Amino acid sequence: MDALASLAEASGRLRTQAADDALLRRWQTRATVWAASCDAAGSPVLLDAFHACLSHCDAAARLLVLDPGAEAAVAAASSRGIDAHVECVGDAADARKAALLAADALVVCGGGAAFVLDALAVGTPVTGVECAATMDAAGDAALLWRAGDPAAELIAATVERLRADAPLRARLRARGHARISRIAAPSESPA
Amino acid sequence: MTRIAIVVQRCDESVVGGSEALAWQYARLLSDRFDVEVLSSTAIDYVSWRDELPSGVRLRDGIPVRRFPTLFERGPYWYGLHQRMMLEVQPFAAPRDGAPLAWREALQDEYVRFQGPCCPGLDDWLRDHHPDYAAVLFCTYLYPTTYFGIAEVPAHKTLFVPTLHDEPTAYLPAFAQRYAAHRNRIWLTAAEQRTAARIWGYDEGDVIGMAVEHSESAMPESRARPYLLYCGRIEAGKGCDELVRAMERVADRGLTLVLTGVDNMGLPRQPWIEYLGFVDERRKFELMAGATAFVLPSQYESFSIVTLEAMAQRVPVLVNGRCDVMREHIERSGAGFHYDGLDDMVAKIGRIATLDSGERARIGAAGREYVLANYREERVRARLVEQVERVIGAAAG
Repeated sequence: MDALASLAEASGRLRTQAADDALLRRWQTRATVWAASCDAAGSPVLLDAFHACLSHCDAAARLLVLDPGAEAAVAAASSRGIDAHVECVGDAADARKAALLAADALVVCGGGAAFVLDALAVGTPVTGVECAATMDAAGDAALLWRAGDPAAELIAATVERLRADAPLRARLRARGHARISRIAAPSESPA
Repeated sequence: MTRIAIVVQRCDESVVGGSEALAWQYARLLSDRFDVEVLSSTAIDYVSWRDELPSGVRLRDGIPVRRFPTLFERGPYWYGLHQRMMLEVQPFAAPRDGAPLAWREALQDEYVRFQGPCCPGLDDWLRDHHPDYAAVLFCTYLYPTTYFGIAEVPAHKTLFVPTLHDEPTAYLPAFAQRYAAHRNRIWLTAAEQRTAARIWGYDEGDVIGMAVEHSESAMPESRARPYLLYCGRIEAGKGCDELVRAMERVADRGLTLVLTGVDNMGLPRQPWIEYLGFVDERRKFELMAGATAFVLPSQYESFSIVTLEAMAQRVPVLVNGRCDVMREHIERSGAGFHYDGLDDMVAKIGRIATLDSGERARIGAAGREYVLANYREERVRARLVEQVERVIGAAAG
């Protein structure tokens, strides 16, 4: 089994694990909620995008950063005066799942494939900036912008569109489900 | 013979449940014409969805039943979600400011998955093997077996039997979204179809219903004291608490309340309550045939086999008028009365208790005629076969 298939199987297991209910209650609101993953290079783009969301779309929006060691991103948020809206999710799978269940979208700005596969497995729409790992994981199941585009504004607008467009969300969920099924090895069926 | 599948959350001789009985009846009625396979879970208990039966294929009355293991039991996590759903998702709790629901679709999926029975093996089977079936019939909108399973089969070859009733869970938008494309639908009653139009926003499909046993009992129960009869799960959710309260208020009229089925509520000890536990079909029909009335206080019914069986035994029926389906049965048949609330229930019990023999005979005959006209096995089988052949024909064409 290749690495992606192995990650997809782990994401499939996440689907059948309970989320952290206390965190889910805290994060599940009618305000805009972003789950997010970024690497060092993507962090400014993510924070610019989220800032655009706060400024133009929803002043009560929240950003839940999935990456372990996301403290740097939170510190950068602090310097922009938006740290009250930003939270580190932590390493635990049940916390990660709570964030994905509460979120309108997973926003990826660099980083690995694992969170993308988790989002597809759980049924959370994925958007963000293209990179090889993200594209490899998401296939046609995500709305990704090229790194050269004015990505921050586009990402904020895409999350808003996802919030408003149920048929689009449904299409992405169906593609995400199909994507995970194709990548992961099928579970055993009774003879 | 052409191979078809029927998907249902539970399938075993020991299972008591309306939609399970419906799925099995459809399997039986279709098995003369098609090579039918039932796809189901290994669960028996509809609360825990515990993995109890062996997985794999077993024959039940000559029909193969392929069971897939349930992955986990329902637990506190789901009950927490359920509690929140009851407060946040019902129509009266809908946001009025245009803001989206706090329940994203991923969370709605989560709610359905952890309600159980969660059988990913069934989903995988349908994804990989649906080409082996000319049509796949899914029974009951509520459970993961249908909700996730139906997404694995092309919509043009699915037949969907929602058994929908107006309950809070039905308002989760994900259900309406998931089933919108699956337009080959079988409704049990016109009232169920109207409920779908109201809650989900679509109602295409045909009303077929279910065959109801109509042989008249040879030995109606004979008792000195008149009695009202209830058969089924004894639970507050089925309206049994209201029924007991109503009976308390007419206790001085000499009526007994006879109940059969599992008591999940804890019936009070009263001289006017007689609890019989499980009874076999023959005994049930004897009790029905001898009753002053059959009472169905449940608000959430999509068909109610047991009420129609009682009608076939010529017994007047009293049903909860807040359930559209039950009210429609009464209004179309003239087989009894419906009530709205406790006071009206007490009044209607009083009315039934004073029916003269002519009125009783007229009401009883109307109920039997209604059942024979609409729910005879031959009629249901013919319409069902026609539906399945239409879907297979369209899928092949």
